[in-house]
Amino acid sequence: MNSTVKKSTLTRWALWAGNHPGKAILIALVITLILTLGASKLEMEMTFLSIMPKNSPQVQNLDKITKEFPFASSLVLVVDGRELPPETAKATVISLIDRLTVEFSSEEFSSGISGVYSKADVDFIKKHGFLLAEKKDLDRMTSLYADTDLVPFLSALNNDLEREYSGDGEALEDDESQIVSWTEGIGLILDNLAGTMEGLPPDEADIEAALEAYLIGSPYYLSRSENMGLMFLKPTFTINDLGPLMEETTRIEERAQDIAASKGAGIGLTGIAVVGRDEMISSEQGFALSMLIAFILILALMIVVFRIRSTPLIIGIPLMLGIYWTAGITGFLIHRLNIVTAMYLVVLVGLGVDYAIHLMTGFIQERDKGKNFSVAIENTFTKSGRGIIIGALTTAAAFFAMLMADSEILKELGIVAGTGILAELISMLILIPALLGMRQKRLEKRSKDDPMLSRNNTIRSDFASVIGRWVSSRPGTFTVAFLIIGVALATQAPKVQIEDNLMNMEAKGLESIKYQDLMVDEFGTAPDILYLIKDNDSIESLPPEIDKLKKLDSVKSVGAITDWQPTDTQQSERLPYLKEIRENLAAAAGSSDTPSPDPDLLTEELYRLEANLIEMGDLAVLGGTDKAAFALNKVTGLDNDGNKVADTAFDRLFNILEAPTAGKSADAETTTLSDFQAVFSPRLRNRILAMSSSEKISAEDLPDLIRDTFISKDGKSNLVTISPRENPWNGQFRRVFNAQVSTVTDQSTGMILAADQLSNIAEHDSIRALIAALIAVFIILLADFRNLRLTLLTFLPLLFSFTSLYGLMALFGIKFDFVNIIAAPLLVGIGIDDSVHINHRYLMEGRGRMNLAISETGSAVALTTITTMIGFSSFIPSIMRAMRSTGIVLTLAMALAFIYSVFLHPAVLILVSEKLGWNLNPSFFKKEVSHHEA
Amino acid sequence: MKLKFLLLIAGIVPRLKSAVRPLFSTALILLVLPLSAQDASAILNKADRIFELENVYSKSTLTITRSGREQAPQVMEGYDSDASDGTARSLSVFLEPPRVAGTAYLMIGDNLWVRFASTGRTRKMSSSAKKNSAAGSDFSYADMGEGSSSFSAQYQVAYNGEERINGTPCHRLILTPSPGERNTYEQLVVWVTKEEGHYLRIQYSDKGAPVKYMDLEDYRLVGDIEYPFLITMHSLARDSVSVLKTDVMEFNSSKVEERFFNTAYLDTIR
Repeated sequence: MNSTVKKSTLTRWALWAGNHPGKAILIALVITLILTLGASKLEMEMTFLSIMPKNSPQVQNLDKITKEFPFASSLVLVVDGRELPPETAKATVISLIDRLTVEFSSEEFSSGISGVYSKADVDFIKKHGFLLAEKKDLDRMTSLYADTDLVPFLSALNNDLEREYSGDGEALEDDESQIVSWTEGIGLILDNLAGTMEGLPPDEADIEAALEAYLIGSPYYLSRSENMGLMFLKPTFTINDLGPLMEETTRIEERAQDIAASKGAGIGLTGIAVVGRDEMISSEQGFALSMLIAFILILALMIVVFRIRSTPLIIGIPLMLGIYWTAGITGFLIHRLNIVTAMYLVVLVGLGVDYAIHLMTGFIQERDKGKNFSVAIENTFTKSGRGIIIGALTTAAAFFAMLMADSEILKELGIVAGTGILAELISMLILIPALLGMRQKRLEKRSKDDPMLSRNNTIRSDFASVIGRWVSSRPGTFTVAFLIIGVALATQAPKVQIEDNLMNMEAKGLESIKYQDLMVDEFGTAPDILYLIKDNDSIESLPPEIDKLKKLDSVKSVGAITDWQPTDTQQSERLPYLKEIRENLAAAAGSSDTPSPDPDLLTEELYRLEANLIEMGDLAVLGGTDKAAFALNKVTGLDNDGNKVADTAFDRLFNILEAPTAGKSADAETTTLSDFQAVFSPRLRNRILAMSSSEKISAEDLPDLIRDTFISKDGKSNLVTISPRENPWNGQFRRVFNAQVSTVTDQSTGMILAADQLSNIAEHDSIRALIAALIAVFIILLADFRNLRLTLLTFLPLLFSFTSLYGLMALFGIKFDFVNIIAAPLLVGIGIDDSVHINHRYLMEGRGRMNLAISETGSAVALTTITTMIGFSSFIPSIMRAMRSTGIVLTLAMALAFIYSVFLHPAVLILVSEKLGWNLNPSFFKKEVSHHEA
Repeated sequence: MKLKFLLLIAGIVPRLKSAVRPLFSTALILLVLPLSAQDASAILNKADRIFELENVYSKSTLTITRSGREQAPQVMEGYDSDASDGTARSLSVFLEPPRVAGTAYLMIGDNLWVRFASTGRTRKMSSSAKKNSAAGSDFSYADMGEGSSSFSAQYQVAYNGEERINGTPCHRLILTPSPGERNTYEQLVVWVTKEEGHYLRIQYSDKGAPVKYMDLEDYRLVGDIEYPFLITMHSLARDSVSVLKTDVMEFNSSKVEERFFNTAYLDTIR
């Protein structure tokens, strides 16, 4: 490169722009207009889902699930009655669910909601319940429901409860809700029986309700404490339809809150779409606030430093224009901004201003010396222009090197970051001389003197001078001291961890995430699950795969279409049992010899049943399954310590059966039992007969909720859901869960697997980008300095900055995540700038004049570091924890780069150049002889 | 001088003929491997001494913490004695919590019974129950009851290097089920302290992943064998930890009677 020619071109441009500001501004306007087209194409995609690697099979399948399976994107409405009186909470929650169902099924909400699911389809279960049961369960039911008369039924029930015992406390925990409703049903049956024995006529409605509870349970989706309920709303939009997502969810939430508030309850809205909405809102608010903070602070600093009232305009206009141009170019090339690239635009405020600082500093220093406007502009661009351009190219090259990465997230960041630097550079080079010229012309028009000439506007550089003197006088001390600090921190560096729980990166306090956590605690749902997409052609092979998945320790439950629509194989296995059940019941019903219940036999069976329920209660208390223990204790009248604390239906029945009241004959007792049996037995029989229908279940027969959950829109594929036992966002558990599931299938997908891709990026892809950035910067610096030793020495402060950063992160427990991992390539591009400026100045000033080099460049270097740190630290107040940690990491990185560049690097240069005699001047492809050589 | 000598040795090695070097390496490997296998077995056998305790009486407290909530401690007495044919036998009787005081588990080989104090009834458990959670804890019935079945009897062992656990240098061994063994885990990784030869940690793997690990601490002398008085089982598949603290341990105890290992005895427990 011919530096003399380059200098002239740049200087000529600056002079022309300074003397023709209107035309220069016009050029900038034309560029702006062209790039407005690009900006109009830009979309904001601020969810974590949007930055997942698109070529990953897990992400592609997840996208397919979002589009093809409507229930996957459903909105979850939580009716929160925790503030209601306990005795009325359940009834209020249920009535609210019914009311909200009517409201959201109405025409008014049809634009946003295409289906409301608030209850299980009990009619479906009443018709097909037994066909859905496993073969081993049907085997038991055949015996259990062979005879629905009272004593035979209780005897069969006891036999079933006393069959070889699995002692599986985990099964008790997994089926807790079913056990609770079953226990409540038994309790209601016994209550009715006791009531009849006490003289009340058997109530058909009460017995039907008791049988409903025993066989089916509550159709509502209620929490363990039964003071909260769930509803699912099928939206007409997905997480990718940003407009309707924002508008409709807000409308739904507001209406639900109004209705719930009228009854004193609360509402929470959650689900993947709502969490995405909240992420977007909190991210956008965070970015807007960060950009405003950064902009205001930086411009205020510029006013204080330069003491020119028009500074905000001279610096602010090209600064914002540079960001706008970056957005425009991004719109043309990528069409979107994601969380990471949007963060970078805020960072650009702190980076772009650096060029303005160097130019303004140079210009003011020239005016301080009494130079006129044109000479000041010329000298500024002569002395600072090359350094600024090389610095910008170095930084941009480091960013563009990220295009070597595999992942889209890093490639996009590379494009936006590199483009941003160049856009800011060009904006500053076009507009700063023009705006300074415009200012000069205004002053001349008003016949005013430039205040820069009339007052001593020297940019104070005492701080830099002091540093220069210290370092120059004790280079050895500074070198040793900072090497020791650097090495000490480096020893901690291997301990830095990577964040493996993505929920720790979300905004704290997001309502939708709070309710997601609540669903885990109160409803026993998993905060996230894995999915498998299967072709309908392979449905016969589904049950064995599901069985394997169910046996995994880390899997709580597996859901599939075959749970609701048995395969042909399953159907053929189950039909003989259903046939036997129906035949047994028909035979029992047809028998003319229906014995009256024997009171003694009944008493014996009731004692057995009570013992069985007490033993189940023992296990529930031992296993900590509180809700099951509560339900069982209620029926048996015990507390958790085993003390008898209440009379129960059992006690009432034993009192009557074992000690008939005076005057009442044993025959009367038998008659009463027969009356009860006459109502109970046929009703139980009819229900069992109805539930043991062998009619094949078609897709059309399925409840809407089931169809939408498990069958794709095009009907060609079906979904399997794999629910983990614990929170899969917890890294340690997730590794177990993923490892176990992968022993059965490698086709699973879900947010947790897709998010793991991001963690892999953080670990591996960023290292590749970092190496590429280092190589790119090395080549540019080598081309600029034309001295291998100097180039290598320039990397020394960068190396220590990295190791010290990692060391400090390890010490303070700050973890790397896929957002703040961008610190690494950014640090290469930005952190090396300070050393480059010091190198240029030292080469220009010569050996023995490092103190001058530092004092001349120190202020600008310090200022640029401060503005960059302001840009990064503006993320720290963000509620989005990923942004906050990025702000902390990058701010720390910049501070370390500055410290090592200003203290260690000059000390090392003095030692090697002045003590060891190394030649740091250009040593190959020399065009001119440096007058600083010894 | 030393440096030059080392450099000389380093200089000699590259001059070895290419045919000799692989021969040398192979011989070295062959020499090392059997040594490792012998060492691994010896290490495991030494650690397995805790299973040599006979006629053991113990009183211990089991505390389960699930999802951060600590449950009521379970206090139990244990009686372990192998039958004359080597069949493992154990009887555990709950003393606390009050709800299950007097409830007992009897294990004889693969057979398992539970006697409920609340109802006075004895129920047989299925043989598959051995792998299920015992009393809601992270220990399975097999973990709790197979006190006299050593790992070396059920697993094959391979040496896997050294590692520090909580600052203590340990041998790391990989255990895989011996042919024909049922009711075992897919794989165990055990860490045995180098100095004392104790189990310090045991990691259990099933279906492709480690599912729990057990830390063994507070080794005390019982007779001439050191036994861990504090055993903590951490579940990796659930958010739970179970701590078994032994309060009393006697071996060759007169408290262990032959009549205990009989279902008829269960009915007499009060």
